[in-house]
Amino acid sequence: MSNVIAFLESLGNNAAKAQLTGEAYVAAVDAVGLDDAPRQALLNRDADALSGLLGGRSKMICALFPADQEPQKEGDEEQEDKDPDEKKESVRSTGLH
Amino acid sequence: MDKPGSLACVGIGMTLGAHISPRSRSHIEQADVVFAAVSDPLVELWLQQMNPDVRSLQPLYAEGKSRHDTYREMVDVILAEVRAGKTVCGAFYGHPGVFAQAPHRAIAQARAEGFQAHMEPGISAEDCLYADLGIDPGTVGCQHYEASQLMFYQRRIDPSAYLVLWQVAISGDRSFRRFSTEPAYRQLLVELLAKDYPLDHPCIVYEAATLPIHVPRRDTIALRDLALTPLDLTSTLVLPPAVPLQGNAAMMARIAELDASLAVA
Repeated sequence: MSNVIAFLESLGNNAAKAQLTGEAYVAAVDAVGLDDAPRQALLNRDADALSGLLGGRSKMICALFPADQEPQKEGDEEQEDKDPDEKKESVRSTGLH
Repeated sequence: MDKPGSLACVGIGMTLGAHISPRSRSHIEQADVVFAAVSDPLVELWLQQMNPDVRSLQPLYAEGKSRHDTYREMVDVILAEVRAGKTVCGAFYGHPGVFAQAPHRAIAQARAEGFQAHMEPGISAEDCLYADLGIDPGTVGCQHYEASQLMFYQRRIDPSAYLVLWQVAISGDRSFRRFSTEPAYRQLLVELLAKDYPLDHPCIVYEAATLPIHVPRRDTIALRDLALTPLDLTSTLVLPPAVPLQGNAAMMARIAELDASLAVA
């Protein structure tokens, strides 16, 4: 099945292949020499079917960013109140690392 | 001298095979261990072909679990391997530093502990958006907000610029435990936006293509229809300008005065 991933990679990184449609796309898929199921999934551009055949996860979460900072613990809040200058400094921060 | 153990957080771009940079790929191939936070199961399988030890960060997510905990655990598992002296790569979809908390925090923590740590940029969803929608943010400017953050805080929207709202499918989620919010929450966002845009303002629901067998989503809807439009975590909302740029006559006069004074001098 690794040739399915290799084929997808070649579609991604090859400008000519990326634009294949119709019979040219079918010919490119056929050239990979796959079994019927992955061949059909590629022809249908069916990512779920491909993932199922290749043992991929059934669900992916695409979220890496919280809308807000974590709620502060009571002790942390008290500390910030004691040190207002440091709080201003954090507002001026230009980078995260 | 840096301690043994290092971290590189790299972006692999949005579309499988199309966007990864040679340097990001080499980080993945040369690492002792790769932690992957990517957008598609096939992309995860693709990464597994580049390195024998690719560990998905997906199991750290769970419905009902605070994403604050998830992101903290991402940093913890990455740093544990750095502390063990390994060459560690964090491979993130898009750009590892754009709307992504854990990569920034992992790098900061690694450096604080004396390890070498580095971020390698990637082609982000924002980059793809400009290309796929034909938008140049330089023409009239472009504001970007996380959708819920726009709702939680007093912000000044400029309707003469583009407005791009990220993670719009979880608008209004204060719990950080959900992967979608009900239409009623998005209706509150509509009401907020309606202060600056007409309800029939055309908005674009955009999703970058994660596989080369797919095309980007580019659905134009009226603002009033946002609440009932199907969205998921990859959906981004783009509001084109609603009003033309307004000239700043006072500043133009001051610039003219300055031009004149410098010409005399």
